[in-house]
Amino acid sequence: MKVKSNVIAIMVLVVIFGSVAYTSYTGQWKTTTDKVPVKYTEGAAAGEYNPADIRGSYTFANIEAAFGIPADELGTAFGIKDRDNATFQVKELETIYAPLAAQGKEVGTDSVRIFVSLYKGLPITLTDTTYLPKPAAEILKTRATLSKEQLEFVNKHMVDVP
Amino acid sequence: MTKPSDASKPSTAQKTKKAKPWYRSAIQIFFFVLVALITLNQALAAYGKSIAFLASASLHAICPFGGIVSIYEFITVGKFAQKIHDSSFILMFAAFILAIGFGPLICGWVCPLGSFQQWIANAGRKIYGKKYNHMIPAKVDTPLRYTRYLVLVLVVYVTATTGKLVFQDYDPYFALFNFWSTEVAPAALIILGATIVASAFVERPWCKYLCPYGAVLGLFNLFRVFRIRREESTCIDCKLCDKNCPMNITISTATAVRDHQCISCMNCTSEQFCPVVNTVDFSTQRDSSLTPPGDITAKEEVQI
Repeated sequence: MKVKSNVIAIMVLVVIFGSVAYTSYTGQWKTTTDKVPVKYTEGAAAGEYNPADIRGSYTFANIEAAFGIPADELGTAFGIKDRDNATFQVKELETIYAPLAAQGKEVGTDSVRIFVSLYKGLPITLTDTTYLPKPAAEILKTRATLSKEQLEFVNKHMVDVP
Repeated sequence: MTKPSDASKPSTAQKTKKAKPWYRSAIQIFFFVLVALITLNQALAAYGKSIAFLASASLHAICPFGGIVSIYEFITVGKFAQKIHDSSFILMFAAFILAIGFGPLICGWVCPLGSFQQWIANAGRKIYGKKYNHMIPAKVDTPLRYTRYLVLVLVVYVTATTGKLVFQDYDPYFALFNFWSTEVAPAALIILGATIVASAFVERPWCKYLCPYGAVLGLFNLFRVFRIRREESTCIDCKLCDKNCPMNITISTATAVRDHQCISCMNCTSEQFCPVVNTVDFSTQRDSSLTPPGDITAKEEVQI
C-alpha cells in the first residue's frame, strides 16, 4: 500500500487538529495549569498543599486560595506597589528585584515558596541564595512561629525593597 | 541478489518529469505561521489584547516534547514539569500516532525550527551548489549523529530531577519565537545563532546532531508502518534520491529505509526528485508486481 504526499498532508492535519478537537470536547485540552499545588504525601503535613510546588505563573490570588494567606498581605510582604495584588504573578518578582540578582541575591518564586511555608509552618528546604524582602521578614517574625534556625535564616536573608 | 537486466530499466520516455507537489511546503508554512501567531498572541495577552479566533497559549503548551520530558514527573508526582500542561501530553501522543504510521512527520512537515533551517538551506544550496550539505567527512559526521541521544538523556534526567524546564535556556526553538523576550537565555540565542550559521553549510544541523525530540521520533523509523522503499528493478542509479536527502541518507542502495535520521520529507520519492515513476515510494511493503521473480526476498536495508 502506497501513500502520496497529499494523503500525508491530510493525515498530519487530521491527527493533530483531530486530537485537539476531541480533547477539547472531552475537556482534557488545557494549555494552562489549574494553579493548585500538589499536596504533601507523607509526614506531619500529609494532605496539606506543598508550597514548594508554587509556580511562577501563580497569582497571589491563587496562593490565597490554596494557603489562605491574603493576597494583600502577600503584596505588602513583597513590596508590590501600584498593582492589583490579586492578579500579580509570582514570576514578576524577578523583574522587580532584578538588580539584586547580580549580587547573587535572588528574590523570586523560591522566596514566595519559603515565605508561604514559614508563614504556614510547613516543611521546606531553605536555599542560601534565596532572599526575602524586609516587609516579608517582619511579617514572618510577628505572625509565624519560627524555629531558631528559621529565624536565623530570615535575619540573614533580608533585602530592601527596590 | 539478482540484478535486473538493462532491458527492464525504464527508457527515457518512461521517466516522468512532473510538477512537484506543494503539500509539504504548505503545511510547513502553515505551522510556522500558526506557532508565530500563537506566540504573538500570548505576548499581546500581557497587554490585555489578543488575536481573534486564535488560542492564547505558551510555546511550551503546544510543544509535544514537553510531554516527553514530563513523563517521569507525571508518573511519580502526578504533575507536569514546570510550564508544561495537558496539551503538551496530548500533542505528544498525536505525534507518536503519526510516527508509528509514517515516521517523524513532526520533524519533516511540522516543526517550525526544522522548516526554518530548511529555508536557510535553500540559500546555502545556491551559494555552495553540490558541495552544500556534503562538507563534513563521514567519519566525523556519523558518530556526531548520535549526539542527540546524549542530549535527550541529559534533558530528560535534569527535568526529572529538578522538575524545571531547564532545556528552555538552551532551546533554539524557544529562542526563535521569543528572541525579543527577556525569558530567552543568552545560551539559547547563541545556539540559535550557531544553528542559523551552520544551516548555511549543512542542512538541518540542529535536527541531525542535537535535537532531543528528533532523537525520540527517529526511533520510530525502526518499526514504522509506512517507510521509504526503493524498487530496484526500475531504479536507474541516478542517485538523485541520495543527493536530495536533507539528512544524507543513502537510499540508492537500499530497498527500505530504516535510518534513524529519516524525517519522512519524501524528497527522495518518485513524487519529488526520483525521475522514474513507482521507483521510490512511501509504502507498507514492496509492490510485488514491480519486483522481479526471485528477488522478492532481497532485503538490503539502511540500518542505524
